[in-house]
Order: sequence, then structure tokens, then C-alpha cells
Amino acid sequence: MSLWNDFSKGFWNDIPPFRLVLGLCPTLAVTTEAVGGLAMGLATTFVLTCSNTLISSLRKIIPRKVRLASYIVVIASFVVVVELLMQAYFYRLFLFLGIFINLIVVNCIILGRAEAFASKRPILNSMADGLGIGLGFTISLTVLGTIREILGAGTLSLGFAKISVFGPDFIPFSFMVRPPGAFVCLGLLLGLMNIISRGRI
Amino acid sequence: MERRRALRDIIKMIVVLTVISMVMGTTLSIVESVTREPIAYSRLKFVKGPAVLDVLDNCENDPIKDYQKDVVVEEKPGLKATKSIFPAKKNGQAFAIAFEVTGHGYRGDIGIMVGIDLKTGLLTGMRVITHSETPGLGARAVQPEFYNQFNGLGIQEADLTSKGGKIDAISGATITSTGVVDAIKEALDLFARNKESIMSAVGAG
Repeated sequence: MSLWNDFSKGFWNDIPPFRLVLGLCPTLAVTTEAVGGLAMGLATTFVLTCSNTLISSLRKIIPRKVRLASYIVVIASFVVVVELLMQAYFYRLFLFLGIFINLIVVNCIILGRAEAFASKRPILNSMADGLGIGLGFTISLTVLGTIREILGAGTLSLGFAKISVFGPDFIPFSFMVRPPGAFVCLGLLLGLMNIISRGRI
Repeated sequence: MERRRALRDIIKMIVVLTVISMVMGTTLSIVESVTREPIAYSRLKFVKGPAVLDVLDNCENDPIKDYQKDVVVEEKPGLKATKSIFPAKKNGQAFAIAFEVTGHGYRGDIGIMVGIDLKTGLLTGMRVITHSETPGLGARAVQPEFYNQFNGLGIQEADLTSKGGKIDAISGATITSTGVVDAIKEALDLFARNKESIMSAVGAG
């Protein structure tokens, strides 16, 4: 498995939450706004890359019996780092994401990659894996967030601006910004991905 | 042999976990101390910021960045307290300040941001920040029709019309109106009594 392969698989073959069906909870919760999805994706990417890198560099030292405890200490610490950085420099996003920043700790993607990949592979590969899967996750969340926000609220948040896409007379399809709408949207996107990868309907 | 290996395993587990925890803990303290100030600034800016900027028109600085924390003032004769003062500056000179006072409303405390001109001692404006008043009645204290009445007034005029002042109370919300007015008068009084220490705290003395 080449380094490039380890990085690029996160963008299609192993993309969460579609192919790597993990991390659904934050996916559905924060994608009510496009910028929320983007922020959550980037925060998760930071934690995933850092934890993969550190765990991979310690993989020969951590005894098997305490590996989960060690991984959790590492992951939780990086999550708090992200939370502090967001509070300091991106306060509005921090308020929007709220408790879901802390819940990155239990995002199965991170512990899953630590156990399945970082604990067995070299540092550079683990870093690439974390970065690729994290960025793929970010793209998924941003696309999902964009669709849900445009259809469900008629706006598009870009962080520094919120533009009204359809004008003031648009009656939003508010089903989209609620949890059932999130599931439906997720399912439709997954179906679309399947059509594309199989090349036929 | 078996027991010695088991003991060695336990020691290794303890050592590894301890070292990892120590390293991560140190990293966290470093990040926390670096971000402590930006976080305090962001919090202030988002919670109190809009009200501060509203009551301090025409300022050229960032009143929140320049704020003076814990300025010692005499709240009532003989009663010392600390207040955070937000200065408005033009050409590097402070011309107005803002600080928060608490009024007693119908359903609880009312947080009010008061702006006062340093030269004249008159109000530059006021905004109600936090309250639990009745919607449609006392809660209308947050509307421009009510708060704009206070612009430019001094301690004599910032009273209800029923008491000889210029403020029309909110109809049906006398207690709220009185609470707000009393708090603002206290603010003006506090400023007058502590003018020197406040002005020196913001570098205008």
C-alpha cells in the first residue's frame, strides 16, 4: 500500500460516513448549516491526524492490555486542544457546534482508525491515512450541510456571510433541517455514490 | 519466572500510561495558557460586545480589547466594588465609557449596559442585555422606542415622567421601567462619585 494510496482512499473508497459507515451522529447533528459541516470536518481531521500520528509513533511501546486506555487519553487530549482553539479563534462556530466538539472523542472514525491502522502501520502512512479520511469526511459533511441548508432554510452559510439563495419568498423544505431529513439526504447521497461506482442504475 | 514477567508487564503498563498522561497533560496546559486571553476576549466580545458597541458610538478603538478589568469604585458611600470599564477612544483619547449595572425587574435581575460621556457625564445610551421580564410588557425594554429615550440624558432627566423626568414608562410594565430607570440613575451616580478613578483607569485623567 503506497503512501498516496493511504491518503487518497479517504476521498472515495473509504470515505466516511458513506463507505466507512462511522461517525453518523455528528454528521447528522451539525450539517444543518454548510459551515457547521465544514467546521466539524476540519476539527475531526485535526484530531484524527494528530492522534493517528502519535499513536503510530508509540505503537511499539504501548502494551496490548492498555492500548484502548492509551488511545482514549491521546484522543481526548487532542479534542480538548481543538475545543480551546475554537473557543479562542472561532467563537461563533464553537457556539454552533457546542457539545459535538467534545463528542469527537467518541467518534468511531478516530478510535477505529487508531485500532485498525495507526497501531500497525508506520508514522507517515498513519498520518496520510488520518489526513485523507479526515478530509474526505470534511467533504462529505460540507456537501451534506450545503444541500440540507439550501433546501431546508434557503440560505448558504459561508462562515463570514450567510447568503439567501432563493430570495425572501422561498418557503423552505424544513424537513431537510430535521433529523429525518438528514437521514433521507444521507441515504440519497449514498445511493448516488453506489450508482457512480457501479456504473449502472 | 512467570511471576517476574507478570510483574514486569504490570510495571510497563503503569509507566506507559503515566508517561502518556503526563505528556498530554502538559500539552493541554500549554495550549490552555496560550488560549486563555483570546478566549476571555471572544467571550466578552460575543456576549457583551454588541451592547457595548451600541452605546459607544463613533469610537475608533476596540472597547472590548481596551477594557479595564476590576476598576475599584465606590458603589454606594462606603461600599467598594469592582467594575469592568469599556473605554471609547478617539485619536487615542478616551471620550466615553461603558459598564454594566443590574436593575431589579418584575421577574428578576435586569442586566443593563450604560454608556456615559466622560466630559459631560451624560448618557451616550443604554441597552438591556439580560432580563427575564414578561414578553410584550417588560420585555419591551429591549426595543429602540424605550431605550433611545435615554440618549443624552443626565441624572435629573433620566427619571420616569411620573417623577418629573423624561422617560415614558412602558405601559403595563411600571415595575420593569422603574427598575431600569433606577439602575441607570445609580450608574450615573456611580460615575459622578468615581469620576476621577474611572478616568485615570482609562487613561483620560
